[in-house]
Order: sequence, then C-alpha cells, then structure tokens
Amino acid sequence: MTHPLLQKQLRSLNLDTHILPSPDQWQHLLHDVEQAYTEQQHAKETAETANHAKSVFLTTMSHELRTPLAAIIGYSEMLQEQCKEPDLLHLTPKLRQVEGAAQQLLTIINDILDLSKIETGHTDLFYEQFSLPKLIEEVLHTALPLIEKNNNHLELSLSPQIDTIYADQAKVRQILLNLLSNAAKFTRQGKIHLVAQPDTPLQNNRIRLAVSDDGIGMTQNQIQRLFQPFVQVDSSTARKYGGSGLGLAISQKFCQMMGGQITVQSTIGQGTQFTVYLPQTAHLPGENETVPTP
Amino acid sequence: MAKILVVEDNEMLQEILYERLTFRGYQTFLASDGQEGIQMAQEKEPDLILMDMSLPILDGWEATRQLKAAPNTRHIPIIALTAHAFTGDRDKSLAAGCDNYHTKPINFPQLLAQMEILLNP
Repeated sequence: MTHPLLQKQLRSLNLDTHILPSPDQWQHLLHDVEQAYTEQQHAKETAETANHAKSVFLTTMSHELRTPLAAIIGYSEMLQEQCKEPDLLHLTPKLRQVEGAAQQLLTIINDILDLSKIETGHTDLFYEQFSLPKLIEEVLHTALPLIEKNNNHLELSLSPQIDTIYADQAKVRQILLNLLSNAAKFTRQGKIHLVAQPDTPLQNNRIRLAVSDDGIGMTQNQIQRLFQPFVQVDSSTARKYGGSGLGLAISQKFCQMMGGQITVQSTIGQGTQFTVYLPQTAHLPGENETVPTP
Repeated sequence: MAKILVVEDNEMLQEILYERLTFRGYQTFLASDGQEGIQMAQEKEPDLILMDMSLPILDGWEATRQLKAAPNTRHIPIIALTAHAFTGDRDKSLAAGCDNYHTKPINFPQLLAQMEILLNP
C-alpha cells in the first residue's frame, strides 16, 4: 500500500509511467517518504508507551483500590459476627448487603487487575498436581447460591476417568467459576449442567469441561464479540446482569496459557454451552514460569 | 487458648484481625512492623504468627528469616499474608521460611482453617 502522503505527492507531480520525474522531484519524493516513515514510527512508539503506561496504572490502581475495600469487607464481616444480640440482629441483613456490594466491586477490580497483568505479560502460572473432582466440588459449593438465586438447578456429570490434573489450580478454578456464574446469570428457572470427562477415548491426555444452560442464548453476532475485553453482548446487559464484561476474555487467555482452549455454541432463546479443553499434564516447559503474553 | 501474634501495619486490618480472633477465643497480640514483630515473638511466645509481607522498618520476609534462624522462635509456625497484585510474593514468603501463605484480601474461614492445621499438626 502506498502511503497517503506519497499518493498525494505522486498526484501533484502528475506522474504517469511515461514521464519520469526529474532528479529534483525524486529528491523531494524520497524526503517525503522518509518523513512519513519517521512520523509513523514515532506514532507507533507513542501508542506503545501509552498502552504500557495504561496497564501499569491499572495494576497500581487496582492494588490501591483493594486495600480500602478489604477493610470494608473485613469490618462488615466482623460486625455481622458481633451483631448476634437480639436487639442488634436486625442489622445483619443490611451488613450482608454492604458486604455483598463490596465483594462485587472486588470481583470487578480483580478482573481489571488480571487483564492488565495479561496485557503486560506479568501473568504467572503455578503448576501443581491436584484433584479435579475435589476442585469441582469446591467450585460448585461457591457457585451454588448463585445458581439457585434464579431458581436454576444444577446437574453434574463427572466421569470416573477424571482424576488429577497438572495445571494452575487457581486459574482452573477461576475459569470454572466464571463459566458457571455466567450460566447462572443468564438463565432463569432452568438447568445448568457441568460435564467433566476425557476429551475423547483417544485423546485421554486432554480434559473436557462443558458448562451448558438453557438460558437466553446468543446470536451469531453476539458470539463473535464474546471474548473481547470490556464487551458484553450489548451495553444494556451490564446494567441488567452486572459484571465487568472481562470474565470471558480472562478465562480464554488463562486457558490458552495452559495450552488449552474454550469453545462456545449458542442458540438464541435456547441456551449456551461453553467447553473448556485442558491438557491433563503440563504443556509448557518447567514449573512456575512467567509466560509472556502478546 | 492459643496465642496468636498479628504483624500488620494497616491499622484497620489490625483491628479487624484482633477483634475477629479475640471473638473466637484466641489470645491476640499486635505488632506494626517487622522489628516489633520479632520483639513480640520473643516476649509473648505465641503459638502462631500471621505476618504481613510489606512492612515498614523490617519487611515480613526478613523478619521471618530472622525468626526462623533464632533458636527460641524457629518452632513458631508463620502464615504469610501476601498481596495478590504482586506476583512472586507467595514463593518469596515460602523461601523465607513461612509455613504457609494467605493471599489478601483475607478470607477469614479459610485463614482459620489454615491456622488450625498449623496449630494442631
């Protein structure tokens, strides 16, 4: 592609293939091309510096935001414990609201922090051997109140072949929680189904975790924008359903870092299924390595 | 009841931990920096220490190293309280000699479970 500046110059010179420019004109052209190139390099560097500064700022800010938030959560939990006397008991639901709102805010801040760490290449993976059924049990325990909030019920299909896995436990937990809470959020009076099994009998070094729901579903257009950070399928979704809109972008990145992937199938009005594929053993060399992200 | 030493420089977090641990019957002591933490550990002989890592005067890593090097305090289990935002903190705390770590913000039931394991091995 010809640079716009060069195109303009060529037009002003009224160049065609039969008339060659004079040495002077060549000199001019060359100078303009060089100048355009320098300007473009400069703009690129400025943009990169700004992007890096943004990520560093987000990391620092997230940390600074978490400290006072930890105090809000801590005090409201402490007060709930201490308000057990009959004349103070009526305060408990209100304190629970304070704590709930603060926890919600904390989730959003954590998401922003995770994403900025991914962007600056500061995401560490801590590989360890752990029991996947035990992790699933723990995650379901956390997700159950959320699932039941919209009168949904949960079904679990755990293959007996699922046992230990060598991966980053915290990241797997976060991915599963994200998919389950999404399913819970976008489904009412329905079923949320979690399946854990080997990918296929032949591919038993890969684990397949599928979360499906019979909720509102998505259009093809919505699916395409799904994994982009800060994008919820439409802007009214955030108001209605809450969340940072970062969860899926983060889950996908985490999955890819561990050598896996996430796929999605959805039909509007019928439901959605997210499937996570993870290698059963580490796919990356060595342990606890910082994996640079693009 | 078990004696717990909390080494934490954030006053609000100090108060929360003090109140909640006391509420559960633990005898709780507070220190605000690593230096004071070491001094209190020698004086009060706690059964367990909760140690923040980024502390003034003497940081949590160095305080842990010194406590684990001294004959009269090396047996005391230490749980590191580490910040989520800074990667490598948990590895660093284990390398310094901490027996376990807990990532802030504190999940109190989880922290209590970790404490119980170290208090009743």
